[in-house]
Amino acid sequence: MNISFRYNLLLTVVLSFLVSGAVAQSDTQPKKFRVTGAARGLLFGDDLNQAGAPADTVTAPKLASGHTLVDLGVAIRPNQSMEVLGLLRIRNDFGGFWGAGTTFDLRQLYVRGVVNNKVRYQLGDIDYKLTPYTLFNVDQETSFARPQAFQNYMDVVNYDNFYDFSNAWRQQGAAVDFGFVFRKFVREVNFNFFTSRINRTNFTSVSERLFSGMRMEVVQSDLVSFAATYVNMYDWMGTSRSTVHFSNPVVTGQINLTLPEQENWQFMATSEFGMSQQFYRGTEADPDMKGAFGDLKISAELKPRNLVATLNLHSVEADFRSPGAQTKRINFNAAPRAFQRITNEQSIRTFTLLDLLRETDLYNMQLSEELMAFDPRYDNITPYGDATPNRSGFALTIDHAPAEERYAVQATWLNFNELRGQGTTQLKNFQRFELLGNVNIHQWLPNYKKAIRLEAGLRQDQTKRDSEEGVRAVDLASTLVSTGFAVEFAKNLSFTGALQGIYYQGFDFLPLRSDFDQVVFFNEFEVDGSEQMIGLGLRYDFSENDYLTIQWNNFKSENNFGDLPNYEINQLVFLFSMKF
Amino acid sequence: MTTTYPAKMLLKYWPLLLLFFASCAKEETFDGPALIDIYGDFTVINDFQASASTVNFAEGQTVTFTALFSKNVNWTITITGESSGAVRQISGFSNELDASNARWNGTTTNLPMFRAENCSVELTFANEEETFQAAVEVIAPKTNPGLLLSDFENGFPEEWVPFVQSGANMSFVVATVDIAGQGNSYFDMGGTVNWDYLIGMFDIPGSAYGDGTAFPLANNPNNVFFNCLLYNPPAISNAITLIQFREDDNGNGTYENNEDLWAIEVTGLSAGWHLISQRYSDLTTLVNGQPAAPLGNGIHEPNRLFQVSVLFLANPVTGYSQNYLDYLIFTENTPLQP
Repeated sequence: MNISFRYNLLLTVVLSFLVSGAVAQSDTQPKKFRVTGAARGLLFGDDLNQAGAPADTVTAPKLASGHTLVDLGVAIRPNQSMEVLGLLRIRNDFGGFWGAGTTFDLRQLYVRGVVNNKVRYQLGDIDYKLTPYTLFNVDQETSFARPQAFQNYMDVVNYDNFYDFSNAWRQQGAAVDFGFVFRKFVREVNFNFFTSRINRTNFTSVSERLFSGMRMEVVQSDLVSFAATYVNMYDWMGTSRSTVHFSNPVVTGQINLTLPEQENWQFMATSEFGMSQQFYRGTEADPDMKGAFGDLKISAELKPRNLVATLNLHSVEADFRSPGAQTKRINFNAAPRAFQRITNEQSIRTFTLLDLLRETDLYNMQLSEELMAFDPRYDNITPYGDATPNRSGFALTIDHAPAEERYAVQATWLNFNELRGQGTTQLKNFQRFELLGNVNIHQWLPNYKKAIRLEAGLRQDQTKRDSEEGVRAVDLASTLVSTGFAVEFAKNLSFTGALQGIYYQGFDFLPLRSDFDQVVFFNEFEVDGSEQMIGLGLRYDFSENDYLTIQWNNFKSENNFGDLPNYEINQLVFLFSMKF
Repeated sequence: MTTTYPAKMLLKYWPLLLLFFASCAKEETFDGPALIDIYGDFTVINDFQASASTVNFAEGQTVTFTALFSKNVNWTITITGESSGAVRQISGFSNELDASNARWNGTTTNLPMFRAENCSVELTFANEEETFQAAVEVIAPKTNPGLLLSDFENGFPEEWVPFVQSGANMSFVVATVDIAGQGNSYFDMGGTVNWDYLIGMFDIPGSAYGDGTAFPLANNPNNVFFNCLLYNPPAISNAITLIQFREDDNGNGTYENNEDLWAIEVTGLSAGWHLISQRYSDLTTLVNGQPAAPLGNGIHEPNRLFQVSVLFLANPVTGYSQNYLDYLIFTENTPLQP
């Protein structure tokens, strides 16, 4: 029996079982099991062109890669209050013939249910998030204003890395949620408890590392609610012979207030404030780090004009550490797979916007106890999201979105300063200006039924610090430009186009940190260049979740510093995606 | 809809949150090393100078080097004795040299010890090309407190009892050449003895230094240190120097075989002078070079030390061996600071 036949047999048996089971269910009773999952076919055809002389005679300029995969999940409900889900991934990379490149992975497994109709629980793979300062999977740097044509690629990366659960982190552990409803004074009180495993012990030098937390939310009314959240990443003492144990508790409080609705105005305020401590028990080498933060958002809505203004007062101390909120998606120490080495010297190519759109392996899925590396070209202001340490200032956002959805615009001005200097008592100043908008042109054409959408975004970041006694001034600017369109010229068939570029220039000092997160040196960081990607293609929507797209993309990388030459990559992409 | 009581209360206390933001003020410290120290311009504001051109360390004088730079740097002052070759290095990371970080009291980093001689002084930096020079004349070298057994400047002490095998090329003599570890003279131990480990030895009786038969040392073994300088010639790899300490446990004025015998065994030295220092309480009993049970009461009693013996040994099949010995001294509280 060859491998391909066995796979087909396995698939047939599984599907037959599922279909027969589904048919056996009565229409009036909850199904004993359901099938869930996704399928994808993805193919890249790449062509690399390098500028400069001498010509690269070592690197193969053309590359084909891709895969097909099926995520097949079965959720079994042995009774009305319990569900067991197992999701298996079958993947075949192009080039792996007759099963040679085929892999089977268990992608998700959990048991969840409700005890006595009161306590909800889940064991196994859980997707969990709390607040932006305790447990929150911050969007990757390049996600701002990404045009829909490129978002197709990003959806693949996000799905593969479990990022598609609204900023939740996929964890292995257990969670319990329950609440109480009251008649007077307080409407409801909700509790959440969870724990997950970050690192397994090796029984000698590495202890079991857990991430646990709890949250209590008190909803007084539609107008007032409070919450307290506690999380801690810690080594479980006694699970190894190590005498050094890490711990990083974070505790926060939240107050949310909505003023009674006025005729034309609506006012809201949300706040979160708290503190953290990071330390190692059993060693004197680590200085305890204690930090606090406060975040207050006040928003006012002028209802007749569909205008919302939000003022965000924000301060995060330099030593505030929260692994659940500061862990990054992008692993900036990784290298791309496609054209990993270029030039005759076979220099390692640093990854770019293009690679971040198509390579799953450039991303991180585990919480990190230390501040991960970041690239100031992409984001030097909030590389760790709202919980980025050493930032204080305000952000003012104005949203305007008419009810008829003809267009929407959003403008943001952010002004932050450091709270503690880096190598000097002088502080850096960070300025960000964002403009984001989209237009549904078909809404302006009364007799036109097909969709025509335009979208655009601009983000300008500036980091500055004055020169001091022979030390260069910091002056780093980056501009991210994004625009795209989708024209539906036949039913469910659209012509799409997009452009996304980042242009950067300037100088900064990058801190080098020790194992205990202490700054031990500053490296000079100077850039002058750009990355730009354009795309044109067709997309056919079979349904809301199923589509096929064919795109041509041109990507250009230009840098006036560094060892790599300017280069461009043309790629032809075929992507079929479905979820069921 | 009306505002509930908690909502009113919150409205009242929002200013407290604003106070929090006001409290997040700029910090006066900064993270990491100063950028000026890494990337700032380096200039010398005050020249490199020595506080004196001559110094008498024997009288407790010191020399202070001074300079002022535009930023913190890793600096090293290297003082080299022109006749002895002794080297003293003082290093630091600062933008200023002064008495707190650049004072020389006559000590040595690389043996031999300084003599009365002219010394050249050089200031260098880890990441800067500039170098600066100065000169200091040592009128008299540093003296070291303690019970000096001998520095061989006046020859081989009469009270010491030598025994030298009748081998070939035997050289158990005091030598006076520039290479001395301290001063101008040292004791040269060398020879070939192809029938025995022992090449030669000498006993140092306590009666040579005190009124009784014991050395005049403190009775607390934690405070007493034995020190000597030992030189290994470049081509010698088989030398074994065994230093024995015999105690008169019962105080009868003699050493007997059931009394403590402590020892230090020195082997495998690299070429050059070495400081051998041992706290008295850390001395052990050795049998064939291995720790063994004490022969006497097992109590370290420096005030009952009866005799010190220095044995120069080598494996008889390995041929010629040689070591130089200099400046045998007991110090109190700290090891010798040469």
